[in-house]
Amino acid sequence: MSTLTQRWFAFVQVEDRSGASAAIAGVFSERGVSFGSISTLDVHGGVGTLCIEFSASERLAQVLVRTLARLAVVRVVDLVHADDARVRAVAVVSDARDDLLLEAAVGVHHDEAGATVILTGPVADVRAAVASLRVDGATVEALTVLPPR
Amino acid sequence: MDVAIVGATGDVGRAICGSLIERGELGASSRLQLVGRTGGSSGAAVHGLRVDLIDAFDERAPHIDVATSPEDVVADVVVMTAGRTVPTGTGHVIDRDRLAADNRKVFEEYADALAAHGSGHEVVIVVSNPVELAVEVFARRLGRHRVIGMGAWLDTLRFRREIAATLGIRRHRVSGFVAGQHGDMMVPLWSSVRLRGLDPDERAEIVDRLRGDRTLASFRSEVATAKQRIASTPDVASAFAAIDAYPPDVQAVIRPYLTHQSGAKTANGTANATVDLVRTVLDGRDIVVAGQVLLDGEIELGGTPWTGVLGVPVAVGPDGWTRVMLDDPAPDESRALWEVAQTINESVVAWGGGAR
Repeated sequence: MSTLTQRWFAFVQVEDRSGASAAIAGVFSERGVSFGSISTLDVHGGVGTLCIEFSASERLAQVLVRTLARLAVVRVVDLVHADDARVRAVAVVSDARDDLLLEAAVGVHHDEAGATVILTGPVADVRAAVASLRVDGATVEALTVLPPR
Repeated sequence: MDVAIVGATGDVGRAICGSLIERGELGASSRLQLVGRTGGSSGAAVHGLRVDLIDAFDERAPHIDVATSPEDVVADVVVMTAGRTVPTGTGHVIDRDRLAADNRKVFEEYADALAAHGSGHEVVIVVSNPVELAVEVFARRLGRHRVIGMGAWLDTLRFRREIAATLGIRRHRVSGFVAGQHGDMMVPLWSSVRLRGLDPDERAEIVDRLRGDRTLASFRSEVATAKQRIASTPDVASAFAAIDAYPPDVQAVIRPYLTHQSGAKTANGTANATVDLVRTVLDGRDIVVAGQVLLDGEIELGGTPWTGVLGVPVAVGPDGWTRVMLDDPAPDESRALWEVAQTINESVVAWGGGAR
């Protein structure tokens, strides 16, 4: 990645309406910016929050945010640098070895059956733990980025 | 690509909005931003205009967004139509100094907001008058190449149409440009006129016949005389008919003048010329049009590299204008452009423009 291009998360509060996703996708695709990831967070009372990960220069990221904010379906957009330590993540992993889980620098929560674990913590730490577990043969079922707190 | 129309509720703004959608210039994922002013009548009307456009064009409308403050203007192309307009109707004297005094603040407000909050890549197409002042104000703040006044393109389309009508052909078979100042002080570049399907000799013969033995040295006095005669014609229908007796370049000035005097407006012609320019920017290819731009030595006038706003043929692409395409103008054209350019610079300074 060039020094100009950086990774970002956009947390977009959007109305739960038909066409909302298409409108948001159009803003990115018209400007040649690809989603690194997109996930739906809480949906409640007709409003949902999307987390969109993408790479762009700071100028272009600001253009995207200002353009997203002009969409009728969008309530609020928060742009956060991907390296921001306040950004958290949660991962769902199965078939992970206990000794590796002990070494992970993140919160580890087991389900009752013990086959599935949930990892929580700063996004960089969760991603590092997930990468390590994946190499060891664990199955990563989901990784979702949460808004900064 | 997104387009913002500043002053969307005015006659020209509305016509531009309708034309952009009707001609399919904005895709379903694009956004048309209608900009009005909080506190003014347009601040309320702009919401109604949004609904009206959706009513009319729901099958093909882009996202339609409303903004009511300069800071909220967000688009790839910004069309500036805001500000007071020239009054229509018989006997109205056009006071460009007053117009400039009123509109300069509006131009500065939007230009400052775009400079502070914009992407740094918006292309601004200026429709508002005085177009030369508006181009100067925006260009000084945003960069010269991102700002194009549409007056010279409208004059160009009128010039081509008058030539085409005189020859009994359609406008798209005629090319050629108008430079200078928008309106009475336009400079018709007869040397740039081309007629599709004709050899140079054939073209030269026809142009000579259309133009007669006149040069641009007499053009302004011809226009002034024609205006006086038209004004003294007893009824509007006869006045419009009388225009047909004039050469095409004079017709290109006095026909829109009479349209204004008749109480009608030129909103559709202006909107069409503007949408042409918007399409050129959105199209992604460099196309030669005429426009008012802030020059900084790209051409020589009176033997020196010229600085100031002037209507000239330019190559326009997605990032604005790139090059001036004024190749080898005739001596009378160079002379007329120099005179007009000096007048524009004096006016712009008097109106409070000029280098900051």
